[in-house]
Amino acid sequence: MSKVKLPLERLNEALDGGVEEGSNVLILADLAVDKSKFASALVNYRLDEDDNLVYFVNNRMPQYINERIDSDGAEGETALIDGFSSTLNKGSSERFRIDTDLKADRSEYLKESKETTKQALEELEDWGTTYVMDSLDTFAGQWDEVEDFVDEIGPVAEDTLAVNYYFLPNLGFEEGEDNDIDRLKEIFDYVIHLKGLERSGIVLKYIDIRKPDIETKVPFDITPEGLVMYVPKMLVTGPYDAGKSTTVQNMSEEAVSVDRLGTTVSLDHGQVERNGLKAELFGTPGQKRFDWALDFLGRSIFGCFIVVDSRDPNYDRVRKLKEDLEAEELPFIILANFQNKEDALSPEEIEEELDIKTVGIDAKHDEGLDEALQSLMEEILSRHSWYYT
Amino acid sequence: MSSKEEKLNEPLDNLDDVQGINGAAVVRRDGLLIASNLGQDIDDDQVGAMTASTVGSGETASEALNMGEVNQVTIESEEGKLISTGAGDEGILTILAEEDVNMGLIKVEMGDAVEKVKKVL
Repeated sequence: MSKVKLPLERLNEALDGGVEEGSNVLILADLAVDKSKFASALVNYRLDEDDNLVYFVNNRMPQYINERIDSDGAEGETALIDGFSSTLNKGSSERFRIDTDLKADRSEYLKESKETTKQALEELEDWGTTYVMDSLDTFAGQWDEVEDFVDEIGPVAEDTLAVNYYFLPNLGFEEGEDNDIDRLKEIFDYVIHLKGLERSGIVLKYIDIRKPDIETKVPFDITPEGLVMYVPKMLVTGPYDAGKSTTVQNMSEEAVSVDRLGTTVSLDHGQVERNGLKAELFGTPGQKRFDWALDFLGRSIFGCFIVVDSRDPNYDRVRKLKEDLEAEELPFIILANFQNKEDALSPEEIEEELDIKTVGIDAKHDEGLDEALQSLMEEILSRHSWYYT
Repeated sequence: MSSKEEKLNEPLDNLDDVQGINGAAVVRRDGLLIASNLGQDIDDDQVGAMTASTVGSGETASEALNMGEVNQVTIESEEGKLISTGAGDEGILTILAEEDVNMGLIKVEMGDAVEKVKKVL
């Protein structure tokens, strides 16, 4: 069986290349996560990969979905199954639709839904297809109905090289006495949980793969360009004059620095968007008299860059920072700046001295910054402390 | 004591004499203290850093929101006020005051002092 890629590289790595053709994927979404937005990001990515698309919608008018799907220039065919209009006793102009009213005859509605889905998949069978069922909330709790549905569509999907994605809002299902999650794990080949943690007004979103049983958690956000890894807050700190502001500015798409007479007096702030990664950077002042700023800027961070001047790394100050960051169990790496200068120590020399992962950069000329971001991201992802701090 | 600092003491002392003002300082925009008259239980260097930081943030915000030059940055707290105003390209004049101080009077007194500080810097 070959693998089908998901729109986030990190997920594909964790799943050995993606999800299997013909498999059934449950996407369980916390209420704080906009599951339809996630569905459109997934669908648009798969359309770019030349999939066909069959999108079953039963919770809103199909035009809302049509507006979000970007099928212009897509090689594959797109078909919507309108499972909603009939529940409002309205006609539908979609190629595929369910005529039965769910409220009038539930089992007939289900039966027609299965038949129509199979028909749609078969009619588009020349290509691999992405099938989206948005959403299962109508059947929430009726897991036997869900199982029937999945089992009946499954073999057709295998024949037509489709992957079936079922969306379900998390209406409070957890492991526990009723074992809803365990039951769902029985029904589906993959269970991908979109978690949304609300923290003082900010929703922190991350993907948690519940089945297969691999420890993978990926923070994400949905941008107009699609799905990206997202870290709300990374700190850029380090000794005076090491190039922290330059690092923030050249890593970021857009940055603001509060600096006077060449010194950061309050903070630097920048927004990074590169290589499928989005992050907010906060730079601290470097001079001792601004140490208090580190206290308030350092709250609720996910990871930290310590920028040093490779010609004079100021090891004492860095060791003190290291101590503080280790006490907070925060991931951090050293950026050895000014690698373009002749008398710079190499990243290896600095790493050996400090015993902290070190990446060489030339912040001014944007050298090594991609690698720096990737390295810190690896540290953040390999240590799961970020999701509860 | 440098002569610059000496010359700054006069306007700072004048401010300190105003009712409701507890101390005054002249700070460089990067947060270094140039001269102060703040009393013993206040950390001068901290006032320097805080002043530079709040004024810097205020000015950056004002610029980003197209609101023009900043006249004054005031922090109103339960038990006092920190009032800062620019004094030339490199300096900031800042005072610590009682929370119920007469703001009209402060404006006049600080305006006079800023002119003197500018001359010295």
